[in-house]
Amino acid sequence: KHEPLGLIRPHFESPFPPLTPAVFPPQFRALKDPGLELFDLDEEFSSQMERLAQLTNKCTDEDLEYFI
Amino acid sequence: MGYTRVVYELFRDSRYEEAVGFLGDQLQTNPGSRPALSLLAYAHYRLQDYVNAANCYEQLAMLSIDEKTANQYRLHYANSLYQASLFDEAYKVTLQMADLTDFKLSLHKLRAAIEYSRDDLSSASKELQAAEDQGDPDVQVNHACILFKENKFEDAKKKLQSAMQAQGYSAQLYYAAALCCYKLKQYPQALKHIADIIERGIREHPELSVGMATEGIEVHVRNSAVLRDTALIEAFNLKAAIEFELKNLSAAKEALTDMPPRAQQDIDAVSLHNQALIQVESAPSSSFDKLHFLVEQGTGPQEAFANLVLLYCRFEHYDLAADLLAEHADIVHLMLSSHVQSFLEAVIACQTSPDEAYQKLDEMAHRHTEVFRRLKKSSADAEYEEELKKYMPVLMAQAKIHWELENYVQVEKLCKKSLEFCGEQESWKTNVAHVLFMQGDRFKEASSFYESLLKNAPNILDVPAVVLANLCVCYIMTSRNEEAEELMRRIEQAEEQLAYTKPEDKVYHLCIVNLVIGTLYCAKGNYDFGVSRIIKSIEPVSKKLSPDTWFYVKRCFLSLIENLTKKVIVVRDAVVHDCRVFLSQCEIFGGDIRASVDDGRNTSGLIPAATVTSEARLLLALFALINE
Repeated sequence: KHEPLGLIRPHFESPFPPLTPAVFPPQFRALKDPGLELFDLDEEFSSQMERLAQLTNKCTDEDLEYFI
Repeated sequence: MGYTRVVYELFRDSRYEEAVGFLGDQLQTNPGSRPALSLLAYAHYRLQDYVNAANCYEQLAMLSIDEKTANQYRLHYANSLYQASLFDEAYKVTLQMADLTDFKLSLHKLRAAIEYSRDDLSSASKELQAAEDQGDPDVQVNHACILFKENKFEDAKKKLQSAMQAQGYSAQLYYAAALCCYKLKQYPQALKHIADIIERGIREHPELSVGMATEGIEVHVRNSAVLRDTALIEAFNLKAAIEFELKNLSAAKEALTDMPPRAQQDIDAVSLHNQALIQVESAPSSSFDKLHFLVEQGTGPQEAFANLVLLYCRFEHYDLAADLLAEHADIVHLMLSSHVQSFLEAVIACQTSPDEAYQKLDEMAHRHTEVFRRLKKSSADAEYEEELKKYMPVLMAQAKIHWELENYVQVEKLCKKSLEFCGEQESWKTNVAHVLFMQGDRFKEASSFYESLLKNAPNILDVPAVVLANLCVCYIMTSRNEEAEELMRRIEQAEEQLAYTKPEDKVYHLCIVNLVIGTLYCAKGNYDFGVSRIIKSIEPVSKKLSPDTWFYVKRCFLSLIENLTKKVIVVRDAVVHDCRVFLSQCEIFGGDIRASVDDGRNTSGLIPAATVTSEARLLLALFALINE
């Protein structure tokens, strides 16, 4: 708005109810974390080709007849 | 190298993401593989990806033939659902395995946790009682948590302290104790516990990069079970909260940047909320965005809602405040105290019907004064202080209605009526001084109020700049120029001192004093002297330009230009020359400075805000036109 230049009108201080910071609630103790289970993964994860290879390595010529 | 070794080494080294990738591939080639599922579940759990962990445990429970193993997995399944905040689903699973002897304690504990999270405290207590017979040390801690939620902080603290003695160090336990101290306003003791947590965290987990962000080093850590167990995020947020309550904003800010640094998308709701609070003054737009996001998400801390409405009103975005209240009408009474609610309603109503708002505030004020009288008799000092904190906003909102109408006599009357209660409050003194100042013929009285504010401050720079500036004007207007000069010399010295001891702190006190005095002279038609003051106030231009200062600078320049074109005044050529040199400087340094204050509204950034540079160019063009 247009008006002749006057004194700088100060900002009227209007205090407000205070802001409230947030905090985490205390941690309720539920269950312990699930444990890490132990497995033999070499057995489990070998691919079929690898397993076939292992199997054939165990075989000798004598088994051939049976296999066929 | 064998699979076993590779995979378990990943777990040993906490490389859970890689484990998830590898195990996921294995599961594709071996669907239903128990080892793959079990290890995958564990890795997800450690990464706090509880939904995926729950999925794996659910499959494992179904695949297991052995009943005991199946139940073990079912328990992990329920626990993962609980961790994922899927409380109803988790509870259902626990009911499916009701009262198995081997799992009795675990089931009661998990159900207690679920009830606690659902705020059903009596059911939580009942479940805990069932677990109590088994002598589990967690039970005591959990009782403390329930007491805390019931606002029985002293009792909760006692329980926690005995648990701390019995169990030795646990970061989360220390945190809970610190939290009780905070609620009881025992800040030094709370800070002591926090310091312990932080010191331990740094020593035992240097990889969490505490303090790195404050130092300006950019690293990120992930949310993890390790991070949770250190309680560092909790501790730093509590520290920020305490410093915020003590009004040490820079310390609060530092607490937030000191915490283990995480990428934006990993930041939890509490930290995000507190970041928003800390940066309100410096970057309101970003604060509003964060708080709005948290309120809309509905998962954020409860405080977000009240803070957002209060801030909208403080920044005079009454329409946004009203919208927010209307959209959430069903929960407003849960989020706001009745006092805050009626205060906000009145402040918002001010925009449409000041009379009605005035009436509302008047009724509130009456209730407060009655309480004051009662408290004064019983001399309950702490309660009196609390009541005063509630009353000041009401009184000043009421006075502001007169102030906006420039009805300064009424403002004065209203304030003087409450002299008995608030006469010692800084904001009361400041406003009374302003009101006398604006009446134009009472500078002597105004100066004595301004002087008393100055007298109470430990350092002259702690006094708001506008108080000092107006005091100078009062001196000049009552022919006490030496006192004005003396005051300005004191400010100058204090600023030099500060620049020496804390070069990074920015102060605008002398700048604002010069602006106000410059404006005074311009308003009285002495542009020669006035403009030179204005120009001097912004020296050096590279440092002193800001949206705030620029507003007052351009006001004086526009007034000068207007009076020149109307040929009401003449100034020396040298003055015009100085003006143009100065504006060219503003053009050079004002490219990144917005021409108006960030009021938190323009959040889209689609329309580029006018800069000081663009406005300085306009003023230069006007000067060029006058010269022709």
